[in-house]
Amino acid sequence: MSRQMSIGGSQFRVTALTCLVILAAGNLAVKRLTAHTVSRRVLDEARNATSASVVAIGNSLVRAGFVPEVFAPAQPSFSNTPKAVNLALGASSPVEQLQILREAFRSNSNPRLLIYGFYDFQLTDPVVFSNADIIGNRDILYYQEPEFARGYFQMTRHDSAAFEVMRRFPMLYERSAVWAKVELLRRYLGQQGMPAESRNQFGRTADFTLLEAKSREEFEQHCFRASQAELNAPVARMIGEAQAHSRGLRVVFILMPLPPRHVEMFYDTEAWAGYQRHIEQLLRARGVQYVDASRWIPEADKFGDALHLSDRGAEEFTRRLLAECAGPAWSNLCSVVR
Amino acid sequence: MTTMKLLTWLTQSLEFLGGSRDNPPAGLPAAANPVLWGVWWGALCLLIYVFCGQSSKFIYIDF
Amino acid sequence: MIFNTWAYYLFFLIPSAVLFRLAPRRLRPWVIVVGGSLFFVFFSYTTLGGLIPALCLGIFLWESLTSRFYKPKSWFCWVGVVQAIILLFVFKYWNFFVGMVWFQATEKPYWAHAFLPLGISFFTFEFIHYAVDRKQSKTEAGTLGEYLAFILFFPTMVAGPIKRYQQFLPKLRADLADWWYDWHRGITRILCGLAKKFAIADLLTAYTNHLNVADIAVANRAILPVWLLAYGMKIYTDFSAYSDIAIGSARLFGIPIPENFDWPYLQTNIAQFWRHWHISLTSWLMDYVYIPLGGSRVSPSRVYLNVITTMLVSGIWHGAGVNFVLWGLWHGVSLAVHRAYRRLRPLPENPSPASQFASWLLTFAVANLGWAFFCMDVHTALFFFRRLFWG
Repeated sequence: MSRQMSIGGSQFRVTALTCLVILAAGNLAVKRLTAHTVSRRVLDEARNATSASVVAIGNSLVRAGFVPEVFAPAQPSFSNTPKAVNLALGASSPVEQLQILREAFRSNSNPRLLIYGFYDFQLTDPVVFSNADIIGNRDILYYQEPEFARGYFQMTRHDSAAFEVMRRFPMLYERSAVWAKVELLRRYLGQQGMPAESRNQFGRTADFTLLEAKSREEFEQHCFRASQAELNAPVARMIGEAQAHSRGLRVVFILMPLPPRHVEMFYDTEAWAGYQRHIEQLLRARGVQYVDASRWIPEADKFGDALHLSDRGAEEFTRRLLAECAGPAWSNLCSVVR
Repeated sequence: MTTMKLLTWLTQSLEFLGGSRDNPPAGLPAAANPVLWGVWWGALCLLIYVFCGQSSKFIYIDF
Repeated sequence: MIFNTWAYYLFFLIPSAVLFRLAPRRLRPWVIVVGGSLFFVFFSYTTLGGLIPALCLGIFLWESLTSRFYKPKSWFCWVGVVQAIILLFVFKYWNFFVGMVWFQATEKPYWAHAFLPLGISFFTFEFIHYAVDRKQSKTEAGTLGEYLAFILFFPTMVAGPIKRYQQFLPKLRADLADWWYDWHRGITRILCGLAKKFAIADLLTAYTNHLNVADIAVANRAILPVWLLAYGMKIYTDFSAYSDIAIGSARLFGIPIPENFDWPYLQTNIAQFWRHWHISLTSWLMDYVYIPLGGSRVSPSRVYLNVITTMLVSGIWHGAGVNFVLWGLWHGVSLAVHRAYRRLRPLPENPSPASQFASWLLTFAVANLGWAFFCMDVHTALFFFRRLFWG
């Protein structure tokens, strides 16, 4: 025979309190399990790059495309610390890249060359975040100098309040690390019975076409708008911090190699050429060298997807970058890498 | 018959745990234990937390 | 979805439920009216894109005023029924109707910026129920505030269950007791609904997202039944989760709402399936479509026609598309066939386990095969079946 269950106020409170204890334990578990996410590893690399003379910063294009061991192999007769370090972070915006650079500068007294790789309109597009955008490697914004980073967002009041709450709970600010596991489960389930899809270190290769403009017309419109814009605030700050950090530090901004399809579709346009002249002017005015490497790798099979170099392509790009650095046009740089 | 009784007990237990039945079926241990209910609520909250991000658009999964 | 937003719980459910408990009895309906109105305006504005959907709150106010004229045996009750049907037709079916009637015309009178007011499929059915039951003296009028509370009760506004006024009113007027007990059961129900929605329904979309022509064409045949079964499970867990959250939310007010799902996939015939699936809709269709058509009190062939007609109405109610009509027809014919079979071979008193299992399997298969028309357009569904059965 079933019995009536009775719940009073004290029992309800015990239940609620137990639930909160479980959630607190969940917070601790998430904090522990996410201690070595990619963004935390890159920050650790930045802290440990104490004597690197070449620092590369940027997003996944630089993460995939710049090979530090090729650019500046470690000298066995000296210490084991590599001369070049890749501190690029996939799926990052200039704000996170600035934070990583600041961390590198805190521990690195005398880097000689800073390479910043980018593509399309990253230097001039405004950085506009809502809380929902701070997932993936962007979670660095929650725990790495959050008060500093917030200065670069244009968050609504509601989002600002949510940000302040979320940055205090590991379950909330590391939520995408947990959700990514579920996304991998979803992709595994979705793949059953379907033709195999191509993947690389960043995910499904077909997905990266979503990061390109939808059409040449849309891209050209963007070029015209961006040709009136200044460098966005975090990029400008990055240059300022680099120049303030060390008088001998050379800053080079590189338009990264892109697949021939992207170059033909978007970069072989008058609108893009105009935008390039504009950013070259902006960078030169700040004493920054600008290099257009977008056509350095004309073979499509040296790219892993719509944007990223494959391992072969990365090695070739890095070797060419090294060769260019040793050339007469870059005479100020060659002493860094010889 | 035993299978049907088991199925009935199982469905009634799930209904009770799910909040749609107020009275627990006979044989469900510690049905009124508030700590166990707290653990159940915590487990549900964790389940919701883990799976509620599926509408987020992940392009990169390198983290 | 509204039930997975912080705004629903923090700005509407918890404050309204607490205020409802604390308010004097005569003010309680107005707590629901104010909460429901703000709910409708807020979510119409934020999810439907703007002021005009939010202004549809006027529909409720108009209905509440006209409802004061619904009296036993009065022809004015039919005005209530007709205006509800017109609302549903204009908002939900106009473009479908235009497509069917003007199919050859180059310029069709489409409503370009058509939108669906929040919960229109549900609240119009509650309007019709009240008008008909008032005409038939099956329910008292209640006060204006009580009727407004009934139609603006926001936990059930968006996705049901479809309520009955004569069940709602006594609970609205009753003494509230067992605050802790109600909140314990309500919160449990809500958490289970959310867990069901996210951990099962949303996860199954990893399979069901493939139910399109391009993916069906390249998939391995063996995965096709998995996708269809996944859809059957997804729609059950998704919809029953909404009902869980709605019923749990209502429980916080101390207002028990009838169940909407009762293990439908465990049933051993299609008639039982429909008595356990979306129960509030099935009983509404029984009372306001099937029985007025004559129900079971007419000749067998007429009964079968009534059953098929009722399920066609159900199909059309679910969506404005030919595929929904076919889905309704699928279930109508299944119910008619089951009825005819039971006339010839009545159910034995003690069916064997083997026959019960076979009945369950058949019912499960019929219900799940029907989902193909529910989730895909006709062309895609037929292509799916072709690949499934013939390769």
